[in-house]
Amino acid sequence: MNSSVKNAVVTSLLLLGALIAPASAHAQCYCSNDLVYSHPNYPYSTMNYDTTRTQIATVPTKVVYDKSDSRFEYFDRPFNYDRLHFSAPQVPSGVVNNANYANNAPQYIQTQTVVTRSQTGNVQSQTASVVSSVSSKSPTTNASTTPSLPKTGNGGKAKLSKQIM
Amino acid sequence: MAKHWWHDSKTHTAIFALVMSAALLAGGIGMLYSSAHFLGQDKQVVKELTPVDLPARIMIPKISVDTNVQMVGTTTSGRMGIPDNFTDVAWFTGGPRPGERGSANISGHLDTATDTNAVFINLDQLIIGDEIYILDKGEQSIKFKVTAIEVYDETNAPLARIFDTSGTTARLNLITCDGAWDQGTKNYSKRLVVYSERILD
Repeated sequence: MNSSVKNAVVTSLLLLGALIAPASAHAQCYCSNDLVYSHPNYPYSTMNYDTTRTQIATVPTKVVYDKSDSRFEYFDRPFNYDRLHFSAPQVPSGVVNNANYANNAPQYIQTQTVVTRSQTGNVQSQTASVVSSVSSKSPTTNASTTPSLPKTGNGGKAKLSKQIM
Repeated sequence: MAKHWWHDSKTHTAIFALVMSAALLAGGIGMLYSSAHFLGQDKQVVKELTPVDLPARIMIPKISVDTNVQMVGTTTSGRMGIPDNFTDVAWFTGGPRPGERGSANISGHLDTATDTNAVFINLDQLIIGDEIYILDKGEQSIKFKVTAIEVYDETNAPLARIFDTSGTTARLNLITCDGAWDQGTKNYSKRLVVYSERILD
């Protein structure tokens, strides 16, 4: 390969590299005016979640911090629609799934959640650490179990129908 | 004999370099566009599924329902909870919020002990395509459209479907009683489930 070809290849590769680099950087962290996306490296094992969400399928892969309502949201895989909300420090005590998803056994979150955030440099990344202590107290209900259907009838309709007949 | 320019090896090299650069440039632009498009999609998804607040009110114009949404868990016997009065409905907090991906479930009474003056007495009049609105305390509403109406034996209902938290759509199920009244157990034999899906405006 003569030097002209080598130069052409090198130039082309540099050009390609310059084009790919920004896309790769965005894949790691994408920032907009009101939301910060980042691939989480958070201590899942110490996090807890909104007690209204107890069906958690997989380990979350993305965290969104919504500045508008100071709430963190979890996505259980990149860019999908599923999200889990929790607000801090208003996360109530209650029954939640095991935060690290090692199993689905519900645990009782006894303490308030504390969230700290920090900004680093020019990159608008948010770091969240959620600390909670899990007591050995047994849960009052097993929130992860699918319930049976509710009893929403009281007989009035049937009684009226009988009277009409 | 004079050498034509197209026989010149330097010209070949230059042409090769030019073509390769153009190809790589096109590929690079394509990748960049894909990436931007991808991120744009993600941003749109976040926008479309702006976090829904807790449900506070439900409106079903077809059957003149406009009432409060209570929050319930499960009873000690493992049933989904019910509202503590006959006029409100109750959202099951063990599943997604209405508007989130998965099936949110709301129960309402069919009747009282003496009459039919309860919130879901006319739920069976809904048909596919009817609209349901859920509003949060800030009056932000999300819309659902009825996709199916099913009646199940109480003991043989597809609980996995009704309480399914997976899938790509945000669903809302309305549940009330149906069937024959059993005075002994004080329970109706069937359950009416109205399935609906969120409509993004």
